[in-house]
Amino acid sequence: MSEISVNTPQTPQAEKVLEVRDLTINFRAYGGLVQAVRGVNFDLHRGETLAIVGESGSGKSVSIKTIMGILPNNAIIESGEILYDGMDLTKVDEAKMHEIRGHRIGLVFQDPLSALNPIMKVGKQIMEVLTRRGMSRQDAYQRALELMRDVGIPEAEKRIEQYPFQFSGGMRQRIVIAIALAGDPEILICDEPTTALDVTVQAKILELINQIKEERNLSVLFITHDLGVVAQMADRIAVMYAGRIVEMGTAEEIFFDPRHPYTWALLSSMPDLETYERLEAIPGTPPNMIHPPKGDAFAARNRYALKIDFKREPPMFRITETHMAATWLLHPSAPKVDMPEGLAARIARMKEAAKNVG
Amino acid sequence: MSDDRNILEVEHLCQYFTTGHRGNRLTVKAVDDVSFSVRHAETFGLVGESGCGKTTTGRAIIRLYDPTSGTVHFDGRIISGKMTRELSSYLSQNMAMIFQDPIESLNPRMTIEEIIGEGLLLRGMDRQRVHEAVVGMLHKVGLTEEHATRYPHEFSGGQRQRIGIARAMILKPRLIIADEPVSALDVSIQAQVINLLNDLKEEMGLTILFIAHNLSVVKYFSDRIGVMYFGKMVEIATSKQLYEHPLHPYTRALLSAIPQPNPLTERHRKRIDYVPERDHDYSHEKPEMRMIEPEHYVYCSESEFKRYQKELCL
Repeated sequence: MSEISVNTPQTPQAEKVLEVRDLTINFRAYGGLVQAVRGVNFDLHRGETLAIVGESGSGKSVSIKTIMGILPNNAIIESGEILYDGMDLTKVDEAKMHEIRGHRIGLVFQDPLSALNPIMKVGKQIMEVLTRRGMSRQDAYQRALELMRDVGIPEAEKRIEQYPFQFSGGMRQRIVIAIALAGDPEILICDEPTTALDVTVQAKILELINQIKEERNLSVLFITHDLGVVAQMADRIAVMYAGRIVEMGTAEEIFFDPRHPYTWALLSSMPDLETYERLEAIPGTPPNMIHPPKGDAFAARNRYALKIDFKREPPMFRITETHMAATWLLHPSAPKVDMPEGLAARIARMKEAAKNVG
Repeated sequence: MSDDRNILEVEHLCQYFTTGHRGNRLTVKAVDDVSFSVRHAETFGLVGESGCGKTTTGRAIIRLYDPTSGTVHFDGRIISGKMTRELSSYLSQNMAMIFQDPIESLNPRMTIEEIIGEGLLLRGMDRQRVHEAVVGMLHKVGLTEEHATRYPHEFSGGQRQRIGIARAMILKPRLIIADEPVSALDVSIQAQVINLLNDLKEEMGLTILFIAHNLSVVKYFSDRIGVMYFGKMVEIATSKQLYEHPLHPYTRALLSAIPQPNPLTERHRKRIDYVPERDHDYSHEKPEMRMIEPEHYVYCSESEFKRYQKELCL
């Protein structure tokens, strides 16, 4: 286990399609500067799903808005770069961004109703992406039909002439996905795509995203706060808290060998179907990012906080080739602290369940 | 925990809404012939997708709506009849509601003390005693006296939900209807609020009607669970029975759709679809609520009833 530098060499065989380096974003707000994102680093590999997990205000949505170039006016990119295809997306001009956004990087929003134009037929909304790239109207119409069938909309010929309000929530989200796919992107960014949907519909949409990812060899950046959804979707997971990535690893590493106390708390705070004991609630609330606390931002809510947590921010410690966490508990001279018993029991239970399945 | 006395009995409750006039008249059967009972000091969970009528059921019970037909007994008294001043005061004395959205449900122009204490003031308690009661309640829900003079916007989502809970609890109601009390909150805050509700329930001997769509939370929180689908109650069972032996195909579909935080099992998960036309044949037999085993009721036809019984014997 060693302290590692910012530019972490990833597994060499994986091809990086997107690299986010030391991204720092502040917002001018009434009370002062809100430090929304504070030095975020991650890579997205070709054909993988990277999930970013965090509570509201942890900076996950701001990070992806920066990638898409749709930050509001009061945002300031203090430092950092986003490398995509030899370009730094934080520096490219709006005209260039127009070619990338929606064409090479697709975005699926949380709320399908506000993502769609209510007074435009859905077919036209899909075709718009295609005709803008110079496709003829007839071709675009045919392609839109194909896309609607791809995302599982029955009676596409009839539905293409309808308006968003005539679709159910799940069907609307399928339209949004069809629009995102129309530009034939290589990266698909999903910002809580199923939060507004029912569980049964959510399950279908998640299956759809997984299926189109396989078919098109897409790289997916998946933003969510639901750990159940993450388990189904993610190859790798980044856990964010107060504008930083606090732990990152493969799905197995995060769920079965979590190292950061915040990840412990997140995993044990929600009941699963086998939970009977009292829940381990995280005390307090997330910090005010206008005045981020000194040292580790999670220290005040952390049962396992060391003295140094209140003084110095922990660096990323590397645990395996793919797994790293920013907590002083991983320092060689830190006292040995085990994860909470309830969580250890749950992980044992999860492994047992996995044996029965696979 | 719970004893066998029913505190709430809902019989054949129907709540229809109509829109349009004459030719365009459209009736939506939001709740259609729903019957269940809630025992003293138990938590009864109502689950289902959005639009299945679970919220409407809760609201019809507490008389935010006028039920179309059916009767609701609370502690032996019929509360679904004509609304009188006396009934209204009886209801607000004995039942309270916790709402989903902690921002929308608090008046932004009232201080926390005014919000929580309003019910007591309306009952003619003097201000000094109201203040004491409010402070006592604030401590119970994990806030402090200094919060009493502030306004809702000064609080975080979790704290606002605590205020909503304090407002519901201050009249010492016997039944709380909690309509999705945690679904608008962040993951780390949800557990705090669930624990708080559990503590208050133990301490005050409350009966809770818990309405939610998150099945893991409902399972954790409830003694018995009712599953609703399109205005109908399709299955009622203890939470253990429901999760170990779900019988109605919709319950099975719903359970199979819950994402579990386990990457190894999730990748092999088999989702079950529910297609009413395929799963049921009601052309010859009429479905009704039948008891399969003690405490376990399923909405099914005669032949399905026999099949379910056989499945359980295995």
